[in-house]
Amino acid sequence: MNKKIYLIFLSVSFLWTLLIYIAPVLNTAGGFPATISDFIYIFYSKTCHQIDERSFHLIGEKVAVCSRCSSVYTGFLFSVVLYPFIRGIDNLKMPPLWFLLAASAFLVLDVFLDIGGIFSNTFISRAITGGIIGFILPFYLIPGTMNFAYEIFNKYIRNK
Amino acid sequence: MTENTGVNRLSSVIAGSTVMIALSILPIINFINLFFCSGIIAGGFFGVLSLNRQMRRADTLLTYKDGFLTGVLSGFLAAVTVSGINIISLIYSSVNPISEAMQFFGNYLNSMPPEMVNQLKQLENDFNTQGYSVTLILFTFLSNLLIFPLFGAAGGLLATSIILRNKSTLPPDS
Repeated sequence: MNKKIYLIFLSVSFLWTLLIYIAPVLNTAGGFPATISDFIYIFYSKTCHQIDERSFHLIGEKVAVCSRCSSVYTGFLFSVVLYPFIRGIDNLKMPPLWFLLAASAFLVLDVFLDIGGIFSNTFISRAITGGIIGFILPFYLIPGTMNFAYEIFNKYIRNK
Repeated sequence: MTENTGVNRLSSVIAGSTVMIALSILPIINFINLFFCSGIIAGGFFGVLSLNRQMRRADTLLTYKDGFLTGVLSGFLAAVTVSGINIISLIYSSVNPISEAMQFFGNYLNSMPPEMVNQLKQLENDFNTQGYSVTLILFTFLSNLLIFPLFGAAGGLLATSIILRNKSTLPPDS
């Protein structure tokens, strides 16, 4: 059960991240693949500003989201892949909340210090702060998803 | 959707979707969604907090199913509403968003593959002749229907996981 849910979670994360990096490749291929690429860019424009100078480039084309978002999603996928090795699929205890709060605080600071003109964030600071929050999130979302699946399939036991 | 326990799940869904809609359409504030849809995640999160508050008053326990469904349904309601508002504003606006986007890209447009430029020009023509583009409207609606419930569910599950972090124990793999 846990393995199946984990594999679904991994597949969705993989597909979401793959589309980000495949868009520039399809774009350079031309023809029909380029049309698919257009739709991938439009799709991700809902989730990201896609500014060229703030994005990673692959074979001369920007990827479908900015460097911060790319790092969030790549860090997320990386963490989902490592989850069974770090926590074990059956261990669904969540890490302390302050991990999530600290990671969010880094990202929020990076954004607001830049907006306030106190510290100009860089490509590296955006990628690192995004990567950290992306890496941390699955440790809270995977247990939640598995608990949800147990409730749906009536196999859930709660400590009261 | 009001149970005999006094918990109104619909009001939590509406609360969550209201946050999503506000954070998606209000100028300047909607920039929050450019950070991996944080506004949508926040809406799902808020919907679950609202449901949990009601459940605590009614002395019932929040479940992961409640959290997930509140996030998904808030996202679904927000996706339909935001798409509707976008479509209406597109139809009544005299601005051609594709022309604006092409101006924004500027010189970068020259380095784009010709197929992509042709695609953009076709969409631009649709707007010039009809005032809207059916392709773009349909695609926007469908992508909203996917993105809002997905990130809403993530927000809902995140909130539930945090609220129940010391209360859940699952059976080992079965």
